[in-house]
Amino acid sequence: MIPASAYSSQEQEILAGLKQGGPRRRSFEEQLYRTFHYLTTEGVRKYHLTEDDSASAYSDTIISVIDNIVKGRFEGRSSLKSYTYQIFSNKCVDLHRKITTNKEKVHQTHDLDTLIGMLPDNARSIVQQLIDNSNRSLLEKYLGEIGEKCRQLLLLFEDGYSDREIATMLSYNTADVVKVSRRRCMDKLKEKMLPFNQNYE
Amino acid sequence: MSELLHYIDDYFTGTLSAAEKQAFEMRCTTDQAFAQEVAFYLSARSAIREELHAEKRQSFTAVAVAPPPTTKVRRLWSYLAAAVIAGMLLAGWWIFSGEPSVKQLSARYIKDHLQQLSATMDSGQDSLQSGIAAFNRKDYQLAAKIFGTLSTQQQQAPDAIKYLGLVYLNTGAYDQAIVQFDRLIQLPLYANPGPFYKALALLQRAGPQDRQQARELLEEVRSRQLPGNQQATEWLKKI
Repeated sequence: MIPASAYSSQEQEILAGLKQGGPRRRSFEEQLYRTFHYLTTEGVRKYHLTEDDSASAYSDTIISVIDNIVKGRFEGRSSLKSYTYQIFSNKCVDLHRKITTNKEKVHQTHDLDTLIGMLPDNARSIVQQLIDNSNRSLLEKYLGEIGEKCRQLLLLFEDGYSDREIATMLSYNTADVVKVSRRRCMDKLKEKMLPFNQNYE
Repeated sequence: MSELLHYIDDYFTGTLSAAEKQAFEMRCTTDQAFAQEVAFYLSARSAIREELHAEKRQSFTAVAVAPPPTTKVRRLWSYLAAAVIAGMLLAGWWIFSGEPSVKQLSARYIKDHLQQLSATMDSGQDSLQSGIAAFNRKDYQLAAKIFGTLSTQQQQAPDAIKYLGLVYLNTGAYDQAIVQFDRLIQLPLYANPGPFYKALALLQRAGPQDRQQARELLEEVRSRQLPGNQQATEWLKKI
């Protein structure tokens, strides 16, 4: 890990703000986005992407960086700038490769990997096979049909906010109420998927 | 079903004991129905995450971006010459034009940031993307028609309402833009740009109470750290 003094004051501020959480985290996300936005010119110049594609790669980069910082996966082995640049380069390579060869995701880690990686090998392979049979587009559709509050609750949890923080942000009485509500929302989603799943079982 | 889901959630949120975790992992390999439930849980979390990322991408488009620093190496004299010219222009502008008003600043913001919408990387050819394409080629009539239809469909309503408001904002139909941004404000979004956009529309309409109302909205944007809070902070000093 590099010493904290090696970060610029701006990087330190962003890192502290993202780790602190709460409603103010969003402003630090925007600050991070603005700080390294000039990298998009690199995507155009070095990786021959269009401006739109480079901007998309950059947005995805910032989302990954935020996620890694919030979930404690950013270990501080490099400056925030170098870390962001490395992820951005990987995403540009992926995108360039996708455009030129129609092959995707060399570097991009699938969102499922983090969670499914918690399972041991034998359990993981069984569950992975079943996941492949799931219908993603239906899930996305039904996520829009479980009610806006439920949807926001699930999004905030997935964004790394604790139940306590969500309670404050969405005006729930306690963290326990958030936890119960969140699980009810997952139940609602499951119930909507039930007819589809029964066809496969 | 519910208890099973709680059990699965406990595993993936790390609240089970070591022995309980081991039993959970064993059950995944011996109980097909249970493994199916785990698969659903993981698929759902993944779909939620995709949705979250889509929202974040959208919220980033509302963030003002400073012009990128140039990396070209230039001789010192060219910097000096540029600085002198810029200084003269700035002085001239300051003397003859005065400081730009908030209305001018907001008009510049609309011109610089809200006349092109970002299409998502894996956007495909859905209706929302067709609307965005129409918007970007300034076919506002078609864009309004598409976003108007989509704004009544629950799943795509937040984006469609926002874009419909931006169509009206760009065509000078400020009353209609404000109606759409009021609809957007009512939605419990992760990072709602509605208050900031409504403030923009009010500043452009410049009616009798509009400036005061815009100020209140900008204060809300600043205090709640909503999208546009940097501009809000800057403009509040001038309003």
